[in-house]
Amino acid sequence: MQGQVKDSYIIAIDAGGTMTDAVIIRSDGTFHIGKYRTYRIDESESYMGAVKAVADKIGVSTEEIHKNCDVAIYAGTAMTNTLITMDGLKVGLITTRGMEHMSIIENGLTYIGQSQKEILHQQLRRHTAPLVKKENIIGVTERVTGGSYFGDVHLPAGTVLVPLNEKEVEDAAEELIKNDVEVIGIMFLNSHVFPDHEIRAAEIVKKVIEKHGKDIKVVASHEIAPVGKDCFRLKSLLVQCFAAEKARKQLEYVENAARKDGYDKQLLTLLSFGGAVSIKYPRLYETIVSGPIGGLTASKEIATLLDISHLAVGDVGGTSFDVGLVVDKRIELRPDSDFAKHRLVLPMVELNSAPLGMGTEVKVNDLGNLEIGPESAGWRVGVCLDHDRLTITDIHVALGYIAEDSFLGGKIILDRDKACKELERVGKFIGIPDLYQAGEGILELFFTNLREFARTQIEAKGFNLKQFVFLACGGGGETCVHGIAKGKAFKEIITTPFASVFSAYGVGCSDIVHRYNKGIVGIIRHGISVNEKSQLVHELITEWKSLEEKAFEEFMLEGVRKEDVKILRGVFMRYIGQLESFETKLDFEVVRADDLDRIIRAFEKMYEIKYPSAAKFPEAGYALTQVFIEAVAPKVKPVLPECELASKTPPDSAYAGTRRVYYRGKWTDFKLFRIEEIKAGNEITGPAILFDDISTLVIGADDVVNFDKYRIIHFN
Amino acid sequence: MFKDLDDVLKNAKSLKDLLAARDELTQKTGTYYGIQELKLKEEDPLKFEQFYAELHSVVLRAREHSRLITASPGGREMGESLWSLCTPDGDTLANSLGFSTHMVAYRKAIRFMIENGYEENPGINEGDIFSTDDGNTAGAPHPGDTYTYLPIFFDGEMVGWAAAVNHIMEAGAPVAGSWPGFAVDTTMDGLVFPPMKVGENYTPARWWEELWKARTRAPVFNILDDKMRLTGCMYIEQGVKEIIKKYGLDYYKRAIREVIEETRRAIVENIKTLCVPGVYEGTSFRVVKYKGLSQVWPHADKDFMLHTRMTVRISPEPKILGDLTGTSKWDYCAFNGYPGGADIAFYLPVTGNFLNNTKMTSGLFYDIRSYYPEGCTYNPDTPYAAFSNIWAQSMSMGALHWNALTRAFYARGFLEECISCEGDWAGIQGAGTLANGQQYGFTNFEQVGGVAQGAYPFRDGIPVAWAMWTQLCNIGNQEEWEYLIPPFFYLGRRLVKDFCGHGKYRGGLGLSSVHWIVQPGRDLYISRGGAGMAQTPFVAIGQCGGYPAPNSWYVALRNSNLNEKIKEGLPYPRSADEILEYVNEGKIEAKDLQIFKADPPQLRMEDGDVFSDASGAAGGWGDPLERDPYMVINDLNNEWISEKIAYTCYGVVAKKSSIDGKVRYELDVESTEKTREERKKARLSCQSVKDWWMKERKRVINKDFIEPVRYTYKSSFSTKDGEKFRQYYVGFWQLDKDFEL
Repeated sequence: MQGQVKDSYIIAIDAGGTMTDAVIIRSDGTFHIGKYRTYRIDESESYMGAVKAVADKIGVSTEEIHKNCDVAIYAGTAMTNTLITMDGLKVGLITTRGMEHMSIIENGLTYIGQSQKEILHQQLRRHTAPLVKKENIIGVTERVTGGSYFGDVHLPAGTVLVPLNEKEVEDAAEELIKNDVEVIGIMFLNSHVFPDHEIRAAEIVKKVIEKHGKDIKVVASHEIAPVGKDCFRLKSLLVQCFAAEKARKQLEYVENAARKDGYDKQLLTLLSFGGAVSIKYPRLYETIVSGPIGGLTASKEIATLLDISHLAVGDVGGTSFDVGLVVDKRIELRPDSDFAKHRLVLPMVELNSAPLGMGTEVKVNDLGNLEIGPESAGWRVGVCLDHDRLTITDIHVALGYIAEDSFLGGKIILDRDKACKELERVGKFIGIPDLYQAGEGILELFFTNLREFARTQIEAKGFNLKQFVFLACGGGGETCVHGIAKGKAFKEIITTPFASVFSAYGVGCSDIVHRYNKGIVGIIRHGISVNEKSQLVHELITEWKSLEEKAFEEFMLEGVRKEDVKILRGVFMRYIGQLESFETKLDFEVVRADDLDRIIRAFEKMYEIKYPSAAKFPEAGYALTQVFIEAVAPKVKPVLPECELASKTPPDSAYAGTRRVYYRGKWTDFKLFRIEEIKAGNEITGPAILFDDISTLVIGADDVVNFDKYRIIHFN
Repeated sequence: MFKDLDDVLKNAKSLKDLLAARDELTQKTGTYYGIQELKLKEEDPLKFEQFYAELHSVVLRAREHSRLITASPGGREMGESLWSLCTPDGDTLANSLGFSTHMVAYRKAIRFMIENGYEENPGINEGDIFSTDDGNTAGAPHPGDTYTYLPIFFDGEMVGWAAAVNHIMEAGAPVAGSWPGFAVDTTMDGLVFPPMKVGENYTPARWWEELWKARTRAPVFNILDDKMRLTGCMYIEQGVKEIIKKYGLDYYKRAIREVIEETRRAIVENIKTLCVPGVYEGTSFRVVKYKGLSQVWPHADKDFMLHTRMTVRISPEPKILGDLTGTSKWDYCAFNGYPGGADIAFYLPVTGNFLNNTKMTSGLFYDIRSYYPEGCTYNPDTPYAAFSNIWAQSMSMGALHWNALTRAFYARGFLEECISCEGDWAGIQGAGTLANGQQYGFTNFEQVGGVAQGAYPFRDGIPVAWAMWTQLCNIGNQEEWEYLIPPFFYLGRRLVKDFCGHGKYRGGLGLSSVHWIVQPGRDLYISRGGAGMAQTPFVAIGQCGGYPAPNSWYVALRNSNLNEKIKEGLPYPRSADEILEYVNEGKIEAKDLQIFKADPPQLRMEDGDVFSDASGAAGGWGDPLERDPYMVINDLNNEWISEKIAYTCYGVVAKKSSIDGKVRYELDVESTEKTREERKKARLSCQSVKDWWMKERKRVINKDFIEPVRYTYKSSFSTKDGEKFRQYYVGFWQLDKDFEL
């Protein structure tokens, strides 16, 4: 490669809990991959390690790559780890008087993250450890209204009932500084519609900090999550204070390492609702689950490339199965999200995880019933390597899907006999003496669980399964895709030859996106006058514009020009009386009073897609609860190269013999193919296994797969 | 009639046949439908599991799909809703998340419809929508809980029911809200209707919405709730049809019965594993303070107590029978219930404890049963008894049951399963008219959403952590409650110092909210339903020497100078105890300060008035003198307990110091040891049980009771099995065998 025309690169990193995956994309869209162990104490080391692993493959130095790098995006787990290990910053909190215990009682949400069975077992209740110590929470006198269901008939939103006691704020700041807090959060009731008290309190606190010559960051809740759910807004604020500011330091280490090596731009990271953002972004807590977003982002690219309107992506990893949706080539978002046992008001991609992965344990409970998960062997793989319980991987090894000597390119040798023995023991327990028969049955159940979970994620949103193409990814995704495909529940099933690093690839595909929202109170009753309509429209436009100004300002700091920023406007809306508002995107410009009717029509259209007509309630009137904008800046993106279609028959060089697999009740010969040798246009008829160093793609007996012009694999 | 399940499935012609066959075969054989072998499970256990996984996930999805439609936090994210799939004869196959014991009511309502010929009139057809909230005919605990039933047909055959329930905002009774606390008979329960066809072809009838508008005070909320329930039911119906297509109708019909028999067997195994057989007794009393509330109904103008007496018999077969013999006769008050609704409370402890490792189906109901003597509070011998707030005292039955099981688990050695049960709940309800004449009704479900959890034998309980009646503990966001109920503004939502049952391990602290009334307009009336008041012993009793938690209590501060003081800059009071402190210290003055330890009547509230509750505290475990004194010091430094409690209750002497105005406590080891020794010695010289019994016996012989107590015992003697309790009473006090009250 050296000596050719100078290449430019995109560095995309997905730093998982154990491995850091790197994809380096060249200007022609081709890419190379590499992995390095994640080094949690200083992620710059694993970052550099992963970049070097790829650079070695390309045959250039890391410096060469960094100097010619258009953009480096790093999706990490720093924030997750900070929350799990509870080693964040020392937080001080100033809140509305009377609300001092909110972070301890957390609305009673002691069941977050539990399965139905665990939830039913009420002895397992625990609160999440608070992110702020009790002695560092100080209440100050103030109260404002948030508006009511009856609109302006009662006190309108933002009526000051008790003015802010500024002296109390000052005293609180003094005390928190004395307590050596590292960051101060401010959270007042109804600040999502009336931020003035928070803004004023922040000014006072900053002055006190300045007086003491300290460097303490001040964060107010309306800046973080302007949504009227106090407990979840508080949690969002605390996560920002406790974990995000610390995670930013970790990202700065990575950026510094890249800079030292010749990178001269900003390091970006991924938002929980998709899209890349500078690590200087103020609401960094919005990047809380940046890692898994990569897979969804890559899926969005695939959906655009192949013109798929409804795409579900299922990532089967070692410990979990993550499912997300890409509808109309957009990533679906949800307004609330549960994370590390905290409920946040954070727009987050619709990504749900079930404890179903290749390392998931298979066991028999005291009643003699078979249970799959939730425990996982993780890096211990299974009894075939270094674990004491049967796992899904063990069964794959016992049945011959995964060869003992080909795991991770043969770097690790597995013990098939051990897997068989354990499988036999479990099989006998459930009354199936033949171990292979038991193994196949358990896998069937596992595949059903995967399918049903994916289905729940799709149908719970009101979609029909048959509309969806399912994209399988993750190491386990390729192995299990034939099982998920069974029953033909989906419109089509696809996967890619690089499915095992799909997430890191997706990190490279991300747009640069900011999202801004603000709580409002807008009531649209029947018989609303034109005057009132135009007043409301005016208010919407004003709010959108102010959000846009903020977007331009923040983008400017990242070096993006105003003219290059694309804006999408929208509202959250509901029938009056409903508590949940529904995201309604607007693909038209709102100018006149009449446009309010168009907004209503857009809402009704969105609602109809989700619910039957008996669930509509236009008689009640409508409430607008939030305005939002999405601001997108341009970024270089990788392109999947379009190949010329070869004949259906794969080249001889792809064929690698056969392997015996226990399949449908008997030992069956599966043809083996090397993935990298298979050309666009080739067709492979199952039973077959396609493999490379890090993947095992299983094709069932009834399946035929085609490699299309992008070498994306379609199951027929 | 039918010889086995195969015979039933082949030859049953109607729902009536099915129901009768189930009853007869189950009773005759002791197994569900007489199923001896789980044929489908044995033939292909994995297919069987897969089948159930699909059924269950349809129901789980139904909730996630439809809950966002609702108007009430109770239905949307708190645990006050449930979606389920039932067999044609009314047994539950799968539940969503939510208040799962409501599946008891499905059996009752579906039985009622079948036995009363609904198949012929009004007919049960595809797309028909049925609804009910009745206790007597349909097993609803109280009128606030409203149910929707949608029959599921496959190829013209009725194959099951999709069912849903949620607790609505306003029930339309004379006393506004969700649990009217004053009702003389059922005509004062609000909008109560037996199972009715309310729509056809998946479309609610026009009159149905009109009924909600005309007869309740929160129609928009109630209609949206109705839409939410129906949407979920339709979702289940569609999903089940697909599953039947996949597995075949014959497989479906047999498998659903095997699933329930499988659960029944699992329950038996669980009882065997977890419990020591035996007789576990418990009793509780709830004050009914109706004297002076009304002159219109003289027969209800009295104060008395409702006696709940529960004997849990765990027999070695094993079976569990909760026998309520000795419980009061039903009365002219809101606190009666009917067997279905009572069972929803009765089954709470066993749902949590015995279903968490198997399938959540009606298999639970066959070897664990309740017995309510005819005529008692939970089984009135009239259809006219009011039942609008049975939950106010059936929680004590739930708690007695839970604590009986805890003793059975403790005896077996399963310490991690043991917990001092807390069964309190409370909600503020009412109605008002805003300045422009807009009328509205409401319920704040805050403390229905969650209460503290009691102590374990090895750790403290925690605050706002669970709700015995639902899986989803959640007290809702204050901003949302304020949005829904305009004149109420929170001045505080805080844990209350010392407010728990103390013990070697203490219960979780109770919660207090302060609701400040701002510009209520023309009028505002509020009352409060709850289980945590006027109970003795409290619903959160202690275990193994631990104290029970204190009862709930409320403060109404009316006609005060609070508004002026706030204007002058006084930091407002944040909890019920702080309000009293403020008044005692003269920081605020009130012409009308009331402290309620029993249900408050409807109170008229004006601008600047405050209503504050303190409830949901949980009981302790073990002797407080055995508590690690450093844990006591820790509680002191966290301001969870006061110096007074540390000393009087725990025998801990703390050294107090103050640095920079901050108070810190340290343990005085020597004084603490000395104090604890003295306390232990003092106990040896207190009255013996024998002396106490002799003294009390004299009072009993002389009938030296206040009237409410005499009335209560007399009432307990007068149910169908009252004589049995009378004999027990006579035996206990060694009285003349003809002793009467």
